[in-house]
Amino acid sequence: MVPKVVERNNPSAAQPQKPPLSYEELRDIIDLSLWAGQLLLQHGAETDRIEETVHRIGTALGCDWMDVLVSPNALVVTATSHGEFRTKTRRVVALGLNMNVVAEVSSLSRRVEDGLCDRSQIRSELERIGKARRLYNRWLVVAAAALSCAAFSRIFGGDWNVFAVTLTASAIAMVVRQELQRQHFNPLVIVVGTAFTAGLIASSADIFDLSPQPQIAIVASSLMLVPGVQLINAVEDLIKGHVVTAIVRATLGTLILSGIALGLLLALAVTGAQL
Amino acid sequence: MLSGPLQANLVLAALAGSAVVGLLGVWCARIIRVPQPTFTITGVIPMVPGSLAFQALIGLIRVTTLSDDEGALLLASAVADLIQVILIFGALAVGIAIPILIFQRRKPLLL
Repeated sequence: MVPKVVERNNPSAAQPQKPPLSYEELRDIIDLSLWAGQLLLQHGAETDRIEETVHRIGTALGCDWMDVLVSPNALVVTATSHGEFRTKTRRVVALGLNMNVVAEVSSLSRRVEDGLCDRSQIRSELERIGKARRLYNRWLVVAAAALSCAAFSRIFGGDWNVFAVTLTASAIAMVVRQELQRQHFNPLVIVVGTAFTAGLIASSADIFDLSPQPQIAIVASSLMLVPGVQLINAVEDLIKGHVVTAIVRATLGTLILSGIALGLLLALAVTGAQL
Repeated sequence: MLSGPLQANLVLAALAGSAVVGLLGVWCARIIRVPQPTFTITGVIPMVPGSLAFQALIGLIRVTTLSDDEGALLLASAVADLIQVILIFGALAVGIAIPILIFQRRKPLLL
């Protein structure tokens, strides 16, 4: 009969049973763990971590078992308690990278596991994490991105003129990027526009003959756009067996890289500089 | 750093570099109690082959505007760059994952 099948498929059947939860409690738990998973997926965590964190929060709050399905733009969670179950789907739109949110949600899930938080505390914590503003001032971000691009131009063998051009070009491009982001343009449009700006300004190294290797400035000035985390997460997901998310991440990353190449080519076509 | 003596093999250099990052990342993450990717993924970002990727993609786009002979040469070098980029990305991710794959084998939480 049915119970045998259930026992084989449901690992929780082998574990000591927790006190049964009401339907309402299940709803609350599923809402909270889904919320935590959503924050992780939005801010660039890898699939393994999302599955684990959602599972950990749900089981720590009293569910016998949590099943989690992570897809690139949706989460599906089923919470089970004594044969009673609820499922919820949530659509998630990625917002970009924020390791601070990932770290905070992870440490929250550990506190929940240690039994240090009840449901209302988790709710207020998640609210706080979700609302928290960016850690760094936008001008600090501009300065850091420009400096790292300029440092790369030195590693590529550029002279100090190339360094200066790269610094200027990537700083201005970064400001353009932030402005485009604020206007909620399509992410690819933002990438092409930013790379175009960077290429346009960096071409001055070639036009005004500032250096024997002007092409270094053109390449280095849009390095801050490279979707490194996206592509590394893609391979990492692949290693751990999450093939679908990996393919989506790799495709998006490649698309962004192509967008950068397109922006640079457009800039070169306008200025006539040589790469 | 490693790419100096091992210039001929950027992929192995990336693997070695990211393995070091991975090991240090696991260690630091344990001390400061934050998720490993905070250290590992951000740690390998400088090794991401960004300019190589641009070169490859720009080369691929430019092939269309060149004569056959020039185009063939450029195509060959662009494809070689592209393969190099893909291999380096693979090496970076595997390098990061090495300590996790070796030291943190545990029963999967979700069956």
